Amino acid sequence: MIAARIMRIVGLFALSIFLLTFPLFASAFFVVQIGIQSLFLGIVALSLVFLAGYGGMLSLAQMALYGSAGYTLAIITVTYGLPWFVGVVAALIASTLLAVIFALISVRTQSIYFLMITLAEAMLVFYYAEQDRIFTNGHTGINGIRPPTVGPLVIADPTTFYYITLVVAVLVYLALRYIVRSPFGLSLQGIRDNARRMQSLGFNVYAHRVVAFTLAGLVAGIGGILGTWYDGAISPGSVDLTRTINLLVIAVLGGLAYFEGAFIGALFFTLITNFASSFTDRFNTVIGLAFLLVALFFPDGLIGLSRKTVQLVIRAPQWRGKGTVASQSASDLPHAAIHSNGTASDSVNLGKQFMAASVNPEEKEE
Amino acid sequence: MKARMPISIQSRWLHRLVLLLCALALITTACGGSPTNSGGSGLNTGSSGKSANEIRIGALATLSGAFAVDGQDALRGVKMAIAEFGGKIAGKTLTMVSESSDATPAVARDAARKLIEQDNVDLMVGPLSGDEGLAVRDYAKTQPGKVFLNGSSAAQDTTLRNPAPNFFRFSTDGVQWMAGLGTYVYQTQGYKRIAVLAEDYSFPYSQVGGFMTEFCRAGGHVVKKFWVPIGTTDYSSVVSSMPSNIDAIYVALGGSDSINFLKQYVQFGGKAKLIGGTVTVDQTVLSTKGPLYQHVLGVASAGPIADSNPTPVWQQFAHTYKSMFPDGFPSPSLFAFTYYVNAKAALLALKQINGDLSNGEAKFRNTLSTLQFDTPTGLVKLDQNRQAIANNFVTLVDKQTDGTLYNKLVQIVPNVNQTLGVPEAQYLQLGEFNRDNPSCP
Repeated sequence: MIAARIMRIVGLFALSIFLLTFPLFASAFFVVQIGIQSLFLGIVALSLVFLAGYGGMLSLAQMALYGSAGYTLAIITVTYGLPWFVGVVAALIASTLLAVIFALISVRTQSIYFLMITLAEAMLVFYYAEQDRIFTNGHTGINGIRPPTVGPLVIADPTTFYYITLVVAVLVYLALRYIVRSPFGLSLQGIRDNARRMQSLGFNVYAHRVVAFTLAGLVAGIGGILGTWYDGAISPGSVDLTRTINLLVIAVLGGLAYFEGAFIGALFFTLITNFASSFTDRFNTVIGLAFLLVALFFPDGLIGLSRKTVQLVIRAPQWRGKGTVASQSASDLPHAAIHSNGTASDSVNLGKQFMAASVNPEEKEE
Repeated sequence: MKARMPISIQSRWLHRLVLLLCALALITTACGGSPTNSGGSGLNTGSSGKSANEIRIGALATLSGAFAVDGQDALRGVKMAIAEFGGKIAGKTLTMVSESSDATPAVARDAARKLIEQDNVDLMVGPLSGDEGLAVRDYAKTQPGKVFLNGSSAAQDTTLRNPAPNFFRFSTDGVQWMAGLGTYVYQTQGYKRIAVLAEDYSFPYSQVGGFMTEFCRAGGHVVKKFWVPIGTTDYSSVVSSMPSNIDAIYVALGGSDSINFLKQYVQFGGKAKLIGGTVTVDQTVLSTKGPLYQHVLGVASAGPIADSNPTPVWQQFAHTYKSMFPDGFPSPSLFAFTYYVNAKAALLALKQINGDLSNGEAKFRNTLSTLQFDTPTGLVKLDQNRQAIANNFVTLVDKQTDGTLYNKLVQIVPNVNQTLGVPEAQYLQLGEFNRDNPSCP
């Protein structure tokens, strides 16, 4: 495994170099429309992956929470003309508070019912934005939202904005990774796999879910601030059903089981929406087909698919070295537990996988 | 358990990383291979990677969403203009690159950015709907070296308040499209008290504002206004709360909203006569299958085109449209016409300057701002805000001998300017048109 560790360091290094130097060799269009957009959409998708993959809650309300932050930012900084940091803080508070309310309404339901309730919540925000005159300015929404200048940093500058979005994305990613490994994160995964069992062990299932949903609301809100600065405007069109479904598509394309999938999905989605229309007028069909293919054949998303491919290439020699295929397939079990239960939370065989996850054979490999 | 989980996650990390790099590598290769990419030129995307013998025209229309049908017809208009010049100007080939939006401002702005910064178009025609126009106008300000021409977007503020120096609108706006209608329905049709039903966004605000400016001035009363969200499918509550002592309802709904309302209005036994906004009874609505006759026959409306315009230039335009696009509408729609006029303005100007786009298209802009030319509906020229002054048409829905519905021309209002003849300063004092302004209950 030393070779793997070296490869990991080299890979991480190469990725960092690539992301850090991206604005130096890529055109402004790529930095802004592909780079920044993938990153902030990735952050919002991250909140969904966290909820769905680790909490078993497939939420359709993330774009609405994104919008609540965006609208708050717009109202504070444009309508009332207050400084940007007031807007940012208020936006984060707004999306977090709204997430608490949404969570209290929805977390007692599961699977399809949870999906429906969060969809209703999303549509509630959309129609409020569409019809309110005083705060959200109806269909036209609020225009003229400018990213601020903080000391020497002109955030409106595409390159600066790219780096800020990158830093925020990395921080959010690391924070969520940390959280899912914390005792809270582990009990959340336990709840995902078998809520009743966790309850009988003395865990407060609903409190865990509410906290997870609230955290995801905060993350979606962070994405909302960046996205609204990026758009320079917010309107009901930013939180409508299409955008809500797009986020789901991004998360599923990338893979609901991995945080990295959120960014891969966002990147893939941004590339398709920008470039499929260059080849065909039926670009929506292309997106739909890509989604269908991934959903049908690669339930772990693009990241899961590639992981399997890479695994085949890299691990093939190791199998022979170890001699047993059985140990390999056993080591795959914990992943399987995460993937197959990313969305469904309450099935009979979960107990078994829960056990499998706690007896992790990979530990020996390391 | 707590100690073990991180390890299992970490060992997956490698594979994901490798994959991530593969994906990124693929993308960079894709960029490098793109013929339109400016390559290693750093952040400056103004430089064009295409051949010197090409003039690239970006066309932005709604090819998905509620206005998809309109967007397709809009692109036909651009194609007609290019075909008229034989696809060449000053020895340079004209190519069209189209981008789609779904009528939301954010998507329109992204599509415009793609056209300008990635596809390296020399000029852009579009977008189609009101709020999109405001977003693209704002984007145009960040690209002073490129020329933007409007499509059919008709929110008044795009050019009236806070205009962009490189955004040109050779088509008239939603307020201008109402010129003549208020006076006509008051004096000729005798409607004194009416109600208003319109979609709740910038374009209908312009339409209602333009209509009411005239109608109220003539002495009419608008006793109630109903504002519905775009995409409303159920109008029962509107119909049931409609006041009974009115002569007519002014309806400013577009596309499927209009069709839904018209059907339901008759089903619910609505009695009052109807007055149409520009897109309420346009070709896209009139050509809908199904018995709309009794609902819309005799409905007065106004707009920049009249299907039955008898002038030879319009007839020729309609004929060319039909022969080029047998799958199009029976008669060119407002969208085909406005995109055609804006694209043609660009091509005429380019011809005058021999396709000289040097110096940040400065010559192109200067030529455009003084350009006057004859469109299929008459002369068009620009005001100081680069907004068209052109003829407007009052029409009535009528039935042709073969049963198809069309808009019969009843009155031409010549040379309508953006402020409906009122001096600009005075007009601006009336304030932005919105749900409550103007008002004459």
